[in-house]
Amino acid sequence: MELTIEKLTKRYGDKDAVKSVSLNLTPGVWGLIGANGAGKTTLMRMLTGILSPTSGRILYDGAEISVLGERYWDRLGYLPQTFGFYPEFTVTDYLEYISALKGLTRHQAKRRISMLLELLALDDVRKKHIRKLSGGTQRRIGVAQALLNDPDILILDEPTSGLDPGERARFRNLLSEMAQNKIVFISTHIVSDVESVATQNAVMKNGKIIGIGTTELLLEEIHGKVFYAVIPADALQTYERSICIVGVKSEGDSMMRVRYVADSGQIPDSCPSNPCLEDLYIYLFHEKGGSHDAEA
Amino acid sequence: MLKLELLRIMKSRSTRYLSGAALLLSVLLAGMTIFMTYYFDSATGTSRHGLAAIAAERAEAALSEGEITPEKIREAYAVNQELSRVYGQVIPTEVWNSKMKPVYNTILNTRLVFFETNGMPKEPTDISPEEAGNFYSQRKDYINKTIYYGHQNRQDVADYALRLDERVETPFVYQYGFGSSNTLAHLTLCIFMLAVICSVISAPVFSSDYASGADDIQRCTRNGRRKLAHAKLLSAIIISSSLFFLCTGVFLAITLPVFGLDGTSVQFNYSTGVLAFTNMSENGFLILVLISGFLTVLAMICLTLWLSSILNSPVMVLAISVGIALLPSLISVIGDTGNLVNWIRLCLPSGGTGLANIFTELGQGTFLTAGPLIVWSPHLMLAAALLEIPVFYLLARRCYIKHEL
Repeated sequence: MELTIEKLTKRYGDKDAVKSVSLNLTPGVWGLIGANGAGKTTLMRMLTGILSPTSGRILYDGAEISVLGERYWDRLGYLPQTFGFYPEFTVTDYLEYISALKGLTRHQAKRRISMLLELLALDDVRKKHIRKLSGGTQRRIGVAQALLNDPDILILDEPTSGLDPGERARFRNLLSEMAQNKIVFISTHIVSDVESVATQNAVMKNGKIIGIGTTELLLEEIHGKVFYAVIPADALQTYERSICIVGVKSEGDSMMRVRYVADSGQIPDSCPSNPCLEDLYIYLFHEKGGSHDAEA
Repeated sequence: MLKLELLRIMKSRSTRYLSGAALLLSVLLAGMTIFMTYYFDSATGTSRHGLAAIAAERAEAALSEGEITPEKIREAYAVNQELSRVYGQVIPTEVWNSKMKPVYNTILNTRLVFFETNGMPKEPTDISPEEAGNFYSQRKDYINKTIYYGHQNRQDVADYALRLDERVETPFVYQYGFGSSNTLAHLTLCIFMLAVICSVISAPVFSSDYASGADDIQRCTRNGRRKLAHAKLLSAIIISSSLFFLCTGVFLAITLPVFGLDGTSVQFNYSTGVLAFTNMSENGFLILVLISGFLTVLAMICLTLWLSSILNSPVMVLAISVGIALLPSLISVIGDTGNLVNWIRLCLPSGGTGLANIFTELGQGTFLTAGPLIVWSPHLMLAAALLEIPVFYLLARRCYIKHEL
């Protein structure tokens, strides 16, 4: 099973939201990392078939998804960035409605809904109106609807936005459980959400994929370039102008502990540190200087 | 899918409130029709309202019920002239009640067709009994001249009107019933109100999903495009149709028993519209008002659904839809609007509702022309609605399926 994206482009007027993106998605969790406006949502909407590309193709096991149509959607689960629901629906009403849309029989729907409500800890709220539930619970309902048809391809656009740290941790565990033999494609700008569960990552910037690979492979780019150092607090602004600072922590006595990415130790008494995906993310999307963009 | 969609729309608070409001307004309009009926009893100098007024009207109308033969019309005008000669402008009450009252209704419904050489309507006292006896041929002359002068002196239009009028059977028959009351005028008001309320219910069907992003999930499912589009369209149509029949049913269930059905031979042409070129009874006309109203409401809903399928804002959809609903009425208020504006007004999905509706249009003798083509306005009104329902339905379906943000 594979989902192949070939030179996919989406143009709005004279602006390319997605520029000639090519990817080959295979079973496992794929993280799509990028800043807001990078083109992640546009790419995901094209993958679901709800947005037509300006050029390029998307193939599911060799067949174009626009040709497969309903057969493709039968294998697809999608949670959009904005989870729109009907305010008059209870959780069960909503899941039954989506089950009917997905073509599940009443018996299949009942069984799947029951299983998912338990899996996503939604049993207690099954009779409650969705509009009255917290953002985190609504998000879980969004995940539940995506899983109703037991999809082979699961596309989740910013699934952890609005979740508290505990909910995000639970979501990561859930993702690992359900990713067996599925292509799970998650877009996020919260790097830590995919760092531990994604088998592969794609980094997107200005509509282009600028890096693909495992977390370890991607981190190769900044291997030996991550440092930490302790500096006076009043020197922080000066360093920020010239160095890509990825973390700051107060050390007391007007001193700051900074973590930064640079080709070599730029601050006196810097110590090397192990890179993480968040370092890479900030390094790639660092606005100042612009030289990193070119490198990426 | 249809059942689920129907339940979903019915569950929405706005649909429930709007349906309740529509029902309440229908009851209020029916109550108004009955309780705002006014009758002044010249014998006692007192006025009556509501049921008492209706009873008095019925009793008075009974004096002139039956076939309106030339002899009957001649006698009515003879009485009028005699009383005018003897008493002048002020006829004593007892004389009015005994002699004028039985013929008054006949004079009131026939005087329109008699006019001076300058085109001004004649005073009833200036119409001789002999002239009045020629009411039915005078009516043809009135139709000919009114249509001729009203349509840029086009004799072909007047001839067309006269050909249509050949279907009308004479002599006319009169009997008191709902046709003698405000029932039909208020029914058209009720239908206009329903058109607006049903548009409000239909406005968010697609656009609110676009606005909330709910359609993103629906679109990438097996039944989320064609089947869902049909289910949504049919649900809005079924709910609006049910509301239409419920509200008009309630309105008529309250008013008809009070005023009574007119006899099957009672002609609309006599009591309501001399320029109605159709051989239709008041009962038949009631059915026509309902059919025309239903088609107009359906056309309005389908237009609203189409707007909903292309716009992301339910408020914008509603604003445009209500604007279109009001447009024919606004054009009618302006007055003589000319051929082109009439084409536009009557071709709008809302052309059959509002101040200009089948009720007013049937009695106005409006013809629309395009070169040699001549169309009577009620025909266009019905044909436009019939055509627009499937067109807007299919457009809405297509636009929803193809919609991309």
